[in-house]
Amino acid sequence: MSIFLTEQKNGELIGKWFAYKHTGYNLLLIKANKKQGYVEINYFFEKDGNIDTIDIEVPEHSILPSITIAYLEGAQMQKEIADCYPIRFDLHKEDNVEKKDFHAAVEWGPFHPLLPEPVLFRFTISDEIIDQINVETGYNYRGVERLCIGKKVSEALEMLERLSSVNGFSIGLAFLHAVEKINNVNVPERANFLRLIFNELSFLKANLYSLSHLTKCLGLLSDYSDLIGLIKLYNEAVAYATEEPQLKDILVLGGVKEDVSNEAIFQLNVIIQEMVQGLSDIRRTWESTHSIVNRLSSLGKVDSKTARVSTGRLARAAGVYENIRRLSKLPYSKLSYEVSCKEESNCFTRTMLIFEDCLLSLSLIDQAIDMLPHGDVRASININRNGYTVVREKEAYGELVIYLSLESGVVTDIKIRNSSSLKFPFLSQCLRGIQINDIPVIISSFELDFSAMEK
Amino acid sequence: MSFADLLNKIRTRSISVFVIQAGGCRGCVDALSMALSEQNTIKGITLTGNPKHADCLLISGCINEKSKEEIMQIYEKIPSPKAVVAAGACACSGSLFRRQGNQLYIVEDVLPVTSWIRGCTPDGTEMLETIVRAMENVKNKQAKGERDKN
Amino acid sequence: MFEVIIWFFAIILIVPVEYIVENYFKTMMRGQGRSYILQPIYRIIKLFEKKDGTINYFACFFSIGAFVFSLIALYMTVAGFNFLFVVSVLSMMELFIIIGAYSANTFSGKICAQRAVSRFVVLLFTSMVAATTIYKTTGALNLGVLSGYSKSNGVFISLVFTFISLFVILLIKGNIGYFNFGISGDELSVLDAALFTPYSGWSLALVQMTHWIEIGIWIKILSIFLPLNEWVSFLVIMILYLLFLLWDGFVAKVNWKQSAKYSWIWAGGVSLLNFISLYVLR
Repeated sequence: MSIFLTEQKNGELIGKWFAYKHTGYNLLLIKANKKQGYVEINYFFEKDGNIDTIDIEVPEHSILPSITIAYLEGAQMQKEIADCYPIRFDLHKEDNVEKKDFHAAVEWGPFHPLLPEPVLFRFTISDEIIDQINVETGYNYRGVERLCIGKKVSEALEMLERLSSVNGFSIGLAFLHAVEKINNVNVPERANFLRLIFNELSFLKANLYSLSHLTKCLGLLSDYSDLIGLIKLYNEAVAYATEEPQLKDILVLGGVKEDVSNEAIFQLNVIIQEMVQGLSDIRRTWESTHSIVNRLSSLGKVDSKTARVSTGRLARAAGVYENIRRLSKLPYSKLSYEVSCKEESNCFTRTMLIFEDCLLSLSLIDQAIDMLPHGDVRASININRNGYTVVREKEAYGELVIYLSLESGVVTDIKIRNSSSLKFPFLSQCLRGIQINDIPVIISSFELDFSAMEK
Repeated sequence: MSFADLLNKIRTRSISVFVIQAGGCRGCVDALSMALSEQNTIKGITLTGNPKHADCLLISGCINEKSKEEIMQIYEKIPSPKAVVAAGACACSGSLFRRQGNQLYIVEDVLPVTSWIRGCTPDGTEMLETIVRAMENVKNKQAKGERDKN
Repeated sequence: MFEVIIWFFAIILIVPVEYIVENYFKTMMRGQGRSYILQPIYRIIKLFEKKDGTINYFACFFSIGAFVFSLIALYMTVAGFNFLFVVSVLSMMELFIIIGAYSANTFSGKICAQRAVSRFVVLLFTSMVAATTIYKTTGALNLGVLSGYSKSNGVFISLVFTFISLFVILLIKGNIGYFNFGISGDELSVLDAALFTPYSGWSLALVQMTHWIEIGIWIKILSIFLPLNEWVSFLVIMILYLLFLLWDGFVAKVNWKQSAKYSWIWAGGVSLLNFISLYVLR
C-alpha cells in the first residue's frame, strides 16, 4: 500500500527546496531514519559554510516528491534512501526510465574489465549512438552505515577505512574529525601534519590510479607502463612510513597510531618527489599528441550549470573554483598552494587537472615535511560527549560529507556522502548521444568510487 | 616426467583469470593488478574480460543478494576445468561486514571454492601463487576423477 | 610440390613465432603481465582441453569451417594460385567467422560482426582495385608468376601504392594502431575479442589458429612484391609487421568509425591512387 502526501504538503516541501535553490544553497546531504511507523528524512543545504536543514517525518510506504526537480545531484542519495527505507519517491519522467522500457537493450556490466567497480548499464542504441540509459547500482552495497550504529568509534573507524581502497583514508579522517569536533579534542600539531601528509599521499595514489585507468581505456600501453612505474615508486616511498600502502590502521582518535621518524619521512619525500619529472613528461606527451587531445576533448562535455552543483574535477574543469582543503581541520592554511581550474569541462581538461592535482599533492607533501613540528602524535582523550555534527572534507575526487551523531563514544547515526554520489546522476546525461566506444573513457574521467558510494 | 605431466605443466602456464570485484574496497584487485605488472617469478597469468575464455574466477569483496545472481551466471559460462579463488578477508569470511542475517555472502556460500587467499589486503604475489596452485588442484582433481572413472 | 609443402608448414609455424616475439617484447615492458616465451602456444594447448558446459554446435561448425578455408587459402597462396581466388577463399573464411559471431546472439557479437563486415568491405574493395592494378601492370594475377616478375622486372616500384594498401589490410587484420576496429583499444575489453565471443575451448583455439594463418597468408602475398629472395622477402615483411605490432602499444586508439575512415583512406584510397596513376596519368 502506498500513501501519497497531500498536495499541500507536497507543495510546501517543493516550495522549500526551490526557495533554497533560488537563494543559492547547495544540496549537501540527504539522510533518513526509521522511527516507529514513520521515516524521518533530513535534507541538508549549504551556502558559504552555513548549513541549514529541512526535516520531515512521513508515514511508512509514503510516496514523496523527488528532489531531482530542484536538485538533480540528489538523485543517488535519494535512491539510496528508497533502497533502504520503506518509502518511495515520485520520480519525474526523465528519471523514470525503467528496466521494462529496454526491450532490445544492450547490457554492459556489472562486472566488466573496463568498469573499475560493478555497475550495470542498460542502453538503447541506434547506430552505436546511445539513446536511452538505465544505470543499475547496488552490487557493492554492504550496509556499512547501519553496521556502524551502536559501535565504538575505533570499531566504526576500522570499517570506514575499509570502504574504499582509494578514499578509505579520507573517509576515516573525516569521521575522526567529526568525533573530535563533537568532543572538542585538540589533536597535536605533529599528528595533524602527519595526517595531512598521509591524506595527500592517498590523493596522489587515487589520482595515479585514475590516470592508469584512463591510459588503459585509450590503449596506451607505454604510458600505462610509466604510470605503473610511478605507482611502484609511491609504494616504495610509503613503505618508509607505514607497512600498509593502502594507509589503513594509521589513524587513531586524537592523532596517529605511531610516529614516523623524521629520517623516514625525509626519505619518503626524496623518493616521491622523483614523480614530478615522470608526471610532467607524460602530461607533455599527452598535450602534444593530437589523437589524444582530439579524442578526449570531444568527450564528456559538462556545462557550467551542471558543473556548479557538482564537485571535484568535474566542477573545476568548467571554471568553478572549489577549494575544499580550506574547510579541513588539517593545517592547510599554513601551506601555500593554488587550486587549478580550467575553462571547459571535458575528458581532456579533467585529465590535465589530474596531472596538476598530483603535482599539487607532491608540493603540499614537500611543504608539510619541511614544516613538520616535533612533539606528540597522540592526545590522551576521553570521549563522552553527546552530540551530532556535519563535517566536510576533501577526498581525492571531490567533496566528502559525513553526518555523525555520538552518544557516550558510541555511534548512534552516521551518513556518508562522497563525491561520487553527487557526480553520478550526471553520468547518464554525459553518456547520452555518445558512441558506445567512448563509455569507458567518460566513466574513467568521472572518477567514480562505487565502493564508498554504495557502502 | 611423463607426457601427461608435461601437458599438465603446460596447461598451468597459461591461466586466464576473470576478476570479480564484489562489495569491497577494491584493494585486493588493485594488489593483484600491481602484482601482475611486477617482475616476479610467477608468469603466465593474464586477465580476461570474457568468462568463456577464462580458466579461473577470482572473487574479492562481500557478495550481496544482487551480485550473487550475476556471479553464478558468470561461473556457469566458464568452461571446465575451472577454479574459483576467494581473495581477501571479505570474500573468505565476510571480514568486518558480515553479520548474522545481513544477507551478505562469502564466496563459499555461492560457489565451490578451490583456494582461499586470506588477509586484508592480501599480498599480490601470494595471490598469483594461489591462482597457479588452484589451477593445479583443479587439474589433479580432474585427472583423479578420470582415473576413478576408468 | 616439395617447396609448396615446406612453405605451407613453414607459414603455419613461423607466424606464431611473430606473436611469441611480440609477447616477449611486451612482457619486457613495465606494467605488463609476466609471461613465458611460449605463452601463445601454451594458450592454444590449454584451450584444446577445455570443455563448455553446453556445446555450441554453431561455434564448432563455424570455427572448423573458417579453419578449413584458411588452410585452403594458405595452400593456394603458397602454390601460387590466382590472387583473386585466394581473396575469395579468404572471404569465405571471414564470412564464417562473422556469421559465427552473429550467431552468438549477444550484443557484443553482433556489434563486432557489424564492424567485421565494414572491415571486410574495405578488404574486398582494396583487393579488387589492387588486383586490377596488378593485372594492368603485369598482365597476370597468379601469385607464382607475380613473384617471378617482381624479381626480374622491378614491379615493386610501379605497384608501391598497391603494396602499401595491402600492407594496411594486414594492419587492419591485426587490429593495429589507427586501424583497430575494436571498442577502445584495451585488450581486456569484451568487445575487442567479441568476434571470438561465441567460441571457447577448442573452437577458440581453432579460430585463433585461423587468425594466425590469415596473417601468414597476407605476409606471404605482400612478400611477393619485394624484389628479393622469397624467404628474405617473407622475413622482411614479418619484421615490418612486428614493428607495427610493437608500435601499437604507443598510440592512443581512435574510435572505430575513425578507424574505418583511416582504413578507407589508407587501403582503399591508396590502392585507387595506384590504379588512377596507371590508367589516367600515363
